[in-house]
This record gives sequence, structure tokens and C-alpha cells, in this order.
Amino acid sequence: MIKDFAMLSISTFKARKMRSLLTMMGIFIGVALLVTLVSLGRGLEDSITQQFESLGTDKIYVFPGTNMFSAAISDQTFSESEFNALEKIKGVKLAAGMVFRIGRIEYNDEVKYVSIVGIPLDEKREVFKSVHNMKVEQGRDLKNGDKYKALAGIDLTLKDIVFSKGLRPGDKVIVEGQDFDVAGALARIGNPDDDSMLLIPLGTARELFNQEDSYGYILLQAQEGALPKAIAESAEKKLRSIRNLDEGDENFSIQTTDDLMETFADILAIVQAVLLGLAAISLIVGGIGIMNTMYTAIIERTRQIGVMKAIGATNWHIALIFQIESGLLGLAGGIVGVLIGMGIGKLIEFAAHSANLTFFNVSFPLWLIVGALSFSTILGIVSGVLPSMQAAKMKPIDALRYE
Amino acid sequence: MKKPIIELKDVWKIYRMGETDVEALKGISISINEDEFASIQGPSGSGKSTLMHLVGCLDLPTKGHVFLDGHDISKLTESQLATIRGKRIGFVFQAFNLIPTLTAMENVMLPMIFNNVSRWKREKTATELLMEMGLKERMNHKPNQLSGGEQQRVAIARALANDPEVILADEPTGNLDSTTGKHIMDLIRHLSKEHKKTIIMVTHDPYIASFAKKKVVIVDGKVGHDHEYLKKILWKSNHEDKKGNPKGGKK
Repeated sequence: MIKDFAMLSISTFKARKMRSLLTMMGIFIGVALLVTLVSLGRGLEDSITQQFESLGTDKIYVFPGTNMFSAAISDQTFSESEFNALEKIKGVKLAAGMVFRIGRIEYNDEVKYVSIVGIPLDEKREVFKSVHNMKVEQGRDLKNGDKYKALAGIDLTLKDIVFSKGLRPGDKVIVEGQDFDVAGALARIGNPDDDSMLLIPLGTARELFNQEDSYGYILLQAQEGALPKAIAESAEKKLRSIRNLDEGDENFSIQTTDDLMETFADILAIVQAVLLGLAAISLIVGGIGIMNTMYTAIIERTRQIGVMKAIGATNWHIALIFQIESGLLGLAGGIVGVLIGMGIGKLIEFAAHSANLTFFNVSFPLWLIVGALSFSTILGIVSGVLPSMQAAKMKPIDALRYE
Repeated sequence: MKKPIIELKDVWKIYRMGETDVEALKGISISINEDEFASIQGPSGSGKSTLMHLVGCLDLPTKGHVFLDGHDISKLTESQLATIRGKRIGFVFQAFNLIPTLTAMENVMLPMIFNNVSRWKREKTATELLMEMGLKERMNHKPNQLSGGEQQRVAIARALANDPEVILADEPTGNLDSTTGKHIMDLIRHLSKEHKKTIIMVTHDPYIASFAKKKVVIVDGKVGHDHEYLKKILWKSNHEDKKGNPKGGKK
């Protein structure tokens, strides 16, 4: 019987194409929004987790400034003595210090400003390279004894991205007025900032930027078995005592991989909650749309309800007919919404990939699709309850008389 | 002797309209036997529509009793009435009242869906009925693709779907031209003769009523007796509307 009533509803939708479409639109906009947001959120979460896991959870990051985002533009640095103090903390396997600036590069008569990063040349550089996912793809790596040698991010070597003619290992570039040889180039890292940087030896960078005895950023690696969290705490205490600061007045920030992951997860959760709230509101509006359409349909089909009652439909039959109709509107809206949502998600993924954010992938878990479809169907059914009850309660003679 | 299939005993129907009570039926007693072809005639406002609703189990009396096949239906719930209507009464309306979004076939199957008939049996019965009504080529047409006469034939097939004992026809030719109306009346007579259905037909048209064996006339909520008075009233109702204007101007 349900199947027969569903056929009846579908025949009605066909006769009222525009109205059915508009009603469904109220639902599918909400569902599409929901599916897009959740899939993007999941994709972001997955890729962030993946990125951080590839960094390893034994790293501790020490930045000047109050948060890691201000580090790149901060004038503040860490002194050699601070660096040494951090290196001596119990449980620290090694400490690596870096210097970075936005600097002027000249190549082939073109001038560009990119991130210039000074990295240590001893074994510490491996930690730095692994954390930042750097692999030398062309030419050779920097080695001990290099002075005016540089490693180029992949975007610097490509045509028309930074320079109109990409640079090659062996080429000469002028950095802040100083001639450098390009020793090698990195493989793609996956974000445009890192992919357009230029790596130079730490000592050279310090000379170039007048930052003798200072570091722009320090990376600590914990020994096996040592807790990164505990190291971070002692590092904070130590820096505070060196700088004579009270707790809460820190002008630096220390974070473990877990902290970073949490920070991102928190931000993501807030953003997602706000957006999902909006999606929920739009779904409620969609539900009201279904209710409105059902009331209209019932008034319009009052006579039909009377006829159906005359030929043997019970109140329950009538309620079921309209309930199925509103449920189907919800389900159809859900299906279209899921498809559109997945389409938008994939489009954003494609756009992200085109912008070289290759680590970003959307995901559509089964629970999301099943959940979205069930939710929209239930929304349709719930929105149809009151109209269906009204239809069921109509007296056959009143309904038949209705013109 | 044939037993009565529908019997009304001292039936009153009182509607409350605002502050006043309107007595639509004032103690009507009629009895219609099995296989009988009866007509109910009366001018507008006479209460014949109310009477038809009671006979069709669409409504319940305020006072008195309605018996269907010996059972008092006056105290049944709406759902019980619906089931009785579906199984035992077939309706043919003046305005055909087919479901516009369904095909002829689907319209005929609808009462059987409500009556829980299996899909296979529904299709078989509907096909047979539509063929009997001469609509073999029209089964998959929607009502708006059918002429008035064809729509009424679909409606008759629908009325027969659950093989009810009683066919209740409310002005079955009211929306048809006279030739088509005659065909429909022939079909209804066929139902009476060949299918042995009890036919109760509500009309104000004496010609249509003349097809019936038994004639009941309703005037002012009562069964009428005065022959000359009735003739006058019926003539009037055929040629003038309620306000006494000649018919044809509006409606």
C-alpha cells in the first residue's frame, strides 16, 4: 500500500513540478550546505592530523611573539644563551635554531620578495627538514662548509610562478645584494608559502640579516620516552626566568605537536559548529516550506480527499498518503542536496589542489550520506504531521462539497 | 420477498448554523430493497443531498436510525463507515470526481488499494471493468485527456471496483449533454439488470428519474405525497433557480 501511495504522490509531484521543485529546494540547500561543510571539515581534520602526524609528536616548537602566527613578522628573536639553555633541558635530544625573513631576490633582472630561511648545516638540519617535509629533488642538499649556496622551493624553479623563467641548480641569484649559487631544489611540499622559499645556511643568513647570536625560531626534539609536554613546561619556565617575566606575560610561545593539533581542532570545531548551526537553520526553514506546501496541497485537494474518503479511504489512509508525500519531498530534497553537496565539496577540493594545497582532500563518510538522507526524510515526515492530521480529520461531506 | 438493503427509520438531520438550528431532514422513513432501481427527487434545498449523504454512509443522522443490510450504522465511527463505504457502496458523482493526476486504470484501482486488494487482482479487475465500459483504448489516459462521457464511465468502473451491493449516483448526467447522458443512463440500467446492483440515484431531472422503478420525492425535509404539488415544485426547480430567476443565466 505504501508503494501505491508513493506512486500517487509522485504523480502529484509530476503535476506540480514547479512547486515540488521549489519546496525541495528549501531542503536541498540546507542538506547541500550540511554535506559540504561536514565533508570539508572532515577533510581538513584528516589532512591536519596527517600533517601533524608526519611531523612526529616528539617535537616542541618555540616561537618569538605570543603565537606561532606572529613569528614570521616578529622582530623578536632568541639569543644564543637562551638557545643553549633550552638545549640543556632534561629530555631534549637536540635543539635546532633557524632564522627567517622576507627578503629580496634578484634573478634574471627580476626582483621578488620571498621567505628566506637560514637552516643549520650540521645533523640538526635533518630534524628541520623532516618537520617541514622537505626533500631535495634536483641538484644537491646544503652541506657543512657551504656559504653562499641556496636550496630553492619548487615554485621558484617553475616558469611563470615566481620568476618568468624558473631558476635551475647552478644558476646564480642575488639575495639582499649578495650573490648565491643555487645548489639544489626541493620537491613539492604542498603549500604555496613553503614552496616558494629559499633555504640558505644559518650562518650566512645571520650575517645577511644582522642577526648574529640570535634565532628566529627554535625546534626541540624530545628524547625517546621524554614527555614533550614536560619539556615544553620547563622550556617556558627557563625562558621566563632568563627574561625576568611573570607567568602570563610571556613574549614567546611554546607548543608541542599535540598543542598545535588541538589548537587547529578547536578552531575547526568552532567554525564547523557555527556553520552547521546555519545549515540547521536553513533546514528548519526548509521544513517550514514543506509544511506550507502540504497545507496548500491539502486545501487544493480537499475535494479529492472527500472523494477518496467516499470510495473507502479511512482517516489513517488519508494521513498516510500526505505523510508519504511530505516524507518523499524531504527524501528527494535530501538526495539532490547530497549530490550538490558532494559536487561542491569536490569542486573545493579541486580548487585547493589547483592552488597547490595538495594535502587537502574532502571525504564523504557513509554515515554522512545516510545521516543526511534520513535527516531530510524525517524532517519531511515531521513537517507533514500537522497538515496530514488536518487532512485526515476532514469530514467527507464537507470535503466533497468544497469547490 | 426481497429484503431491504437500505432502511431509514424516522431520520432527522439538524445542522447548527450560527445561532439557529436548520432541520434538513424531518423524520424520514424510506426503505430500498435489494436490486431495486430507485430515484430520489427533490428541488434544491429539499434535503435530498443530506438524504444521499446518509444513505451513502458519508454522514450520520442526528436522530433516528439508518440500516444497511439490517445493521444499524448510526453509531459507527468514521473509519468503520469508510470501510463500509469502500466495500459496499459505489459512488458516481455529477462532476465525475476522478483523481486528475492518475490514469483511468489507476483511478479504478484506487478503491481496491483502500480495500487491501492484491496488486495482481486490482489490475485484473480494473482492466475487466474498463473494457466492459468500452474504454479499452483509454486505460492509460488521464482524466483531462478524456471526454465527459468517458470520465463518467471511468467513474462507474471505479464505483464497481470492490463489487459493492449499492451504487449511489448523484446527478450522474448533470454535467453531460443529453446524448451522452442517455448512454450513461443505459450503463446504469445495465448495472441494475446485469450486475444486479441496487441503484440509488439522486436527480431533479424527471426524464432521468423515469429510468428508476421506485421514485422517492423529498420536499422540505420530508417524503412528499401530494402528486400535483410535487409536479409543480419539480417543474419549478427544473426551470428556475432558488431566487425564482429562469435557469440558464448563471450556475
